[in-house]
Amino acid sequence: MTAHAWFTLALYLAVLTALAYPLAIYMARVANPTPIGGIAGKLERLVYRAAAVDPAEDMPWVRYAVAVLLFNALGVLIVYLVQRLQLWLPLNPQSLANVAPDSAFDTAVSFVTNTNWQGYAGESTMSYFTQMLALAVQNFFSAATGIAVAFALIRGFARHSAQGIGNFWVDLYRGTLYLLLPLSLLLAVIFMGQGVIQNFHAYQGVRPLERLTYTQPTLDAAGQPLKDDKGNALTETLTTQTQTLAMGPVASQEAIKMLGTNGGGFFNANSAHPYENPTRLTNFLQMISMLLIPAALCFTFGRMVGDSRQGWAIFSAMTAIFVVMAVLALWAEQQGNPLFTPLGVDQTHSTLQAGGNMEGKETRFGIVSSALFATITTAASCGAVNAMHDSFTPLGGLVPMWLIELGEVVFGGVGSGLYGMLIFAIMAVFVAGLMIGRTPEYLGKKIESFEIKMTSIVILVTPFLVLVGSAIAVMTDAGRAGLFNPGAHGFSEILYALSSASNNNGSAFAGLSANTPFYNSLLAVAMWFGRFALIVPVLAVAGSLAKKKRIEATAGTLPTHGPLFVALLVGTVVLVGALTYVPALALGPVIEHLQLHAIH
Amino acid sequence: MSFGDAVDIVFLAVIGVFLLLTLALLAGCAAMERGQ
Repeated sequence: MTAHAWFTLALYLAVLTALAYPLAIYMARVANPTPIGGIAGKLERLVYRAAAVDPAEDMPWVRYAVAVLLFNALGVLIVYLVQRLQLWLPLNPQSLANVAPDSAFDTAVSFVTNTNWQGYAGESTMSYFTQMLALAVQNFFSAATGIAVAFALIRGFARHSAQGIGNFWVDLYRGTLYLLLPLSLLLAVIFMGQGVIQNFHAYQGVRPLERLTYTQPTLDAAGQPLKDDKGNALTETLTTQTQTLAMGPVASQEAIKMLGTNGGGFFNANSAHPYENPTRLTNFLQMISMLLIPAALCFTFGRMVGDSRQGWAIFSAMTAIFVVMAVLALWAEQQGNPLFTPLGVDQTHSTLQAGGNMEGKETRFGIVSSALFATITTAASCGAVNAMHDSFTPLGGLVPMWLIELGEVVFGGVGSGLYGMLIFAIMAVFVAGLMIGRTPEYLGKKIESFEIKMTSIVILVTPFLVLVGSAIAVMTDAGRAGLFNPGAHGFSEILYALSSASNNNGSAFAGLSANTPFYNSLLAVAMWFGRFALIVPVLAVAGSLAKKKRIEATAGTLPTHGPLFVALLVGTVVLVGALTYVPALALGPVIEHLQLHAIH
Repeated sequence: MSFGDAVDIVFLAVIGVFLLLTLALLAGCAAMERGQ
């Protein structure tokens, strides 16, 4: 790894921690359900009155979960309808057609579940109205839903002998209005200052100085790639003399896309597009904003349970896994492709070139800012990309895939990362309790059979969706038809897609033509149940814990704020992830790595 | 494909099915909590 890579990683972690800690203090105040004064308080009460919400109601977990489900199901319905009617709605200067039903359904579930998997290309599919009032709105609401569930679980630990875990409507309102909106506004203004566009213009046609020649996959009438006898995608070379520059209100969507760990790009190229991510500064800010709220929530957790060391322990466990994975990705991409060495290609890093594996990467970002971005966007359940993960080396591509498969708990999504990691913490203290023969306890709460049953559901749901979904895709003609690559790499593309959807990441490995009724339906199932079949048992754990009495720590209590617990937690996350996914990974990136070096 | 086709009804119904299945999971979890 280069000195530049080490420096960037260290700088990134230092800035992230410095910004996350003060934000955590503010977020703990946002989580406090007591009424606030001033104009903001009056407006808040007005909204509650208009919506017939009693903000003083302390919801039991069942009621909280029903509110979450109904609100999000309504979100799917609205986003679906807006896409299906966009031709007749305003702010559509390109007269983009109504979105196809299967794609609209997939996209609606995708944005409501905070996944933002995109089977479509934004600039050629979605009107400005759809982008702003359907997709961007869900960027806020899905993130706020995650934060609300995290707040509810923290209250489960913090309260004792209580029936309620908070009020979903209050948490949703405050998470959106007091946290996500101000931060997004600030970040959008900075992005605009750096050159991210924000307008409602029709697309601009320009004539380049030179003819533009490019190669693209050849597709059949159904939009599926045509292949040769060996299963490789056929390509065609085209030349054009004009170029269309897509316009739109990008900055306002870009900010919440990153802060809400949504990741759905305004353009198909996502954060590799110069209108979404024009400079090195915006690239760094996008990397910071992806992990800012998930990192801050660790410290918020510590403050809300009255022991900041607990927050540091969770933060340390996440950071430990993150650093190892980032170093592996940075190292693998800097090594380059061993097949190029015998051809005399110089892949060394120097002042004149980035070196390493630059395929699929923006030259303005290079190896470090691409590999680090990929690690961050998959550690978080963001899914924004500034490089094509499909073009990474096998080991470099394994890093984002496995980070997703760990359950998006290495910082993870806003809210979902913390509640996922706390579920693993419950599992860790349970395992420790088994070792020493004591009833496990965490933060003064006894962990009993009900919590372990709910924890088991949370941990098992996503592997079931990923592995069964991948098996269905590779066993059916419709699943295999979308592949652009044969063999192990093709399997990786399918496994990545199912991992990304089920864990609500949303990034694509690329190389898979997924905008088909088969994938749009399969991935929608994975996204919905990967989100809400986890939230329900998490809220059940919150409700159960809130009812329990707090017990005092004794000499036999496992301290959960020290290095021993951090190591235990890291070990639990890594072991569960390894035992679940190593067989599948062995068929994809692992065998591809071995093939690459065997040929070499 | 114009809006209002049968396929739209199917997808809208699927949203309802997703919701019902998740509510069933919720009911199962609640029953488990009561039965402990």
